[in-house]
Amino acid sequence: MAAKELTPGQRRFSPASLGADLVLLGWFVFSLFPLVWMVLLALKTNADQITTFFAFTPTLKNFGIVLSDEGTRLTSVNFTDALFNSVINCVGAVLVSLVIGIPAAYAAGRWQYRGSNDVMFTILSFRFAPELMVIVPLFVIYNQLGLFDTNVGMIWVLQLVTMPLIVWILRSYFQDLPAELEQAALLDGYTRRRAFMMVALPLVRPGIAASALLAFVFAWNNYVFPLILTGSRHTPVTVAVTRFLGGGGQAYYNLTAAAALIAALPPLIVALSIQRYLVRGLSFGAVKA
Amino acid sequence: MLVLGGAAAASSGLLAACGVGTGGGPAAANGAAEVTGSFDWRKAAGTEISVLQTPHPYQVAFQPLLAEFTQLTGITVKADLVAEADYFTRLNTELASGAGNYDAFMTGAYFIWTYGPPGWMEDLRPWISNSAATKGDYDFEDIYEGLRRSTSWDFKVGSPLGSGGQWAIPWGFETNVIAYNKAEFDRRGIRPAETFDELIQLATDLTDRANNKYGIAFRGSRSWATIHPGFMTQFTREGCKDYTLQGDQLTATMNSPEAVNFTRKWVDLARTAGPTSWTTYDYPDCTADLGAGTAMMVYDADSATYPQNIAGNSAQAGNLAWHPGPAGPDGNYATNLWTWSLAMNSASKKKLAAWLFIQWATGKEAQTKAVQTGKLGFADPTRASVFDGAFKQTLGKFPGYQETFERVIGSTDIKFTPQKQFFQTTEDWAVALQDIYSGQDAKTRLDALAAANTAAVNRAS
Repeated sequence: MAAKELTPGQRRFSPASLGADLVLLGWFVFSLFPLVWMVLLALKTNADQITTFFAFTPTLKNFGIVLSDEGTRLTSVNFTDALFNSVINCVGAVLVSLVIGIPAAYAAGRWQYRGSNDVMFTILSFRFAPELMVIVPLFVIYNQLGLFDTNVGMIWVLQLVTMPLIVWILRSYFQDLPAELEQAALLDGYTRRRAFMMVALPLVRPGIAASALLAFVFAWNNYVFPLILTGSRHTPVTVAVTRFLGGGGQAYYNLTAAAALIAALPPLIVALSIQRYLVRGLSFGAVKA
Repeated sequence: MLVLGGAAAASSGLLAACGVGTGGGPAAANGAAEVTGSFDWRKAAGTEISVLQTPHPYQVAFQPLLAEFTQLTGITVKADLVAEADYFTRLNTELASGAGNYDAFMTGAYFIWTYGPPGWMEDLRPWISNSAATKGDYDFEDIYEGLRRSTSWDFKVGSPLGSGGQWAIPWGFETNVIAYNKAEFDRRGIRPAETFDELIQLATDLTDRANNKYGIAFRGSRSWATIHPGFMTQFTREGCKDYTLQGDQLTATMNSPEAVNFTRKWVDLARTAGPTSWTTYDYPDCTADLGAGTAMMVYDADSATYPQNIAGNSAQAGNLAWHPGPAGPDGNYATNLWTWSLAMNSASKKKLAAWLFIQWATGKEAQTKAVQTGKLGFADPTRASVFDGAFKQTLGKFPGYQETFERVIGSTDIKFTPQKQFFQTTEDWAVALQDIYSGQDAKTRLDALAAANTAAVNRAS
């Protein structure tokens, strides 16, 4: 007997598909467990943080402490200010990278010249070089230039993180874009600059959104550069979170988890707000390769 | 107390070799001689200093008192905090660069052996002895002798501690002793062990893996910090020594017959009555297990176990007590210490203000207030007068703490031989313990370690 035809989205039940679902469910739980554990930890009191697993009386007090004067007293840094610093640093770093990186990616995607690949790999090497390798000279230079513990200094150094991502991802987009579109515009009397602005740029908008988001997340998560290059005035959120760990025999894993959850919110909100572009961007851009 | 940081300190030579900081040039001149006239707390009024610190009960206790310092001196203090795991990476970079962003900083005594020789630290002895810079009633000798000696060295291989400059002033410190679950001991009608063999038996008897309880927690991670607390204390009590001086050369002796015998027993103790993941254990794991009621004893810093007995901090708060730990065969209570001290950056441009801050923070009055008001306590104060005065008043609910302290303090100082390769050679020692734990022969492994360490410490000199 012929099997009944399935409607779109419908699946035929079989032991194999059930097994696959169970494996997927297991993987889903395994993957998300660290996040679940962090949420649980953030809801525990000091006494419960070590002694309990899932059964405890939850409290939201830790979030209040992190954001209050008590948290500031504990860590010598205002966590809200740290969030604000991170936003300034990361948005600033991404904007600078976009302004410089988009034309660079367009040029790299459209024109091949002697040494162009070398230039691209040099840019890429900024991303892969261990940060600790360059941190001491950077520290010395930053002190000499007065950039230590400033937002401008952080925006500048984060170019090492954001620029290679944006240039490399967008170069791939521009390479995929048919050159005939811009040639048609040139035939219609557009200048090269206008063809770039009016034709090429709108077509790579999903790519810009995807690469900007990725760059933002990488910049947001960066730890080593702000650890060394900022002091108490411009501490970003990654460094502020670790200050809740405590020391000298008393660890505050609960406060650290609460701070980390708060710190994860801005990138999450940005990702959700540009989700439409992100999916298209990651599907059609460099990531597909 | 310390988890990490040795790697950062070990890299300092590389930074100096790169021409960073004062490693390749002359050290900054000592600033004490520039201060003349009579002493006045307000001599540097209007100055702002930066202090690099790591989150710790000492720092928490002093944070609210900084306003009083400003009121007294007219100096404002900007305190930067860096998490303990990254603290020495940050401090190392700062000192090596010679930037002078921070005028004073927290440091451990062992780090003096790395940061002192390149000239990154100011010798504080000229400041202490300058009556224009130091108030007459500062009373440096009130700080325990073992602590003063542990923060002084002349950086010559073979010279004992206490020779040379005073590179830091002890601010808070800890002795390494046993903290135990007194409620459980009382329930069973047992007492802490008085000898090392008794400790092994007691810890083994208390271990009940089926119910997730084990006898004793001590550090076992791949870090120099594994060696310095309980291990070095008991190692010394059992009559062992890390190095001996022969002529002008140090010879590693952590492979002497007594040392091999002790090390074998120590590792066996970890295996039979220690935490199941011993080779990853640092002090927060040990103290957390004690606070949770999983570990029955901890052999580590008294100040690290102290907060676990403060109400609300752990499940076993109120149930803990302290004991000096096993005496050596001859009855000695030799004890290794860790001290968080305050030191001055030799590249500081505000040395007088920095010294006034260090002087105030390590003085009797401020330390007494910190003991009385510190939210996480202030264990242990470095001044005998503060311990005997304000601190004893806080020990009502800490059974055995005072008696333990008084038993060991006379024989408490740094038991390591000072040497510039401390972090690398001591981490290698911890790795050797892990190798023995995983099955290698103790004698063979310690012989190899001793040969390598002898070469390393003499090459460095």
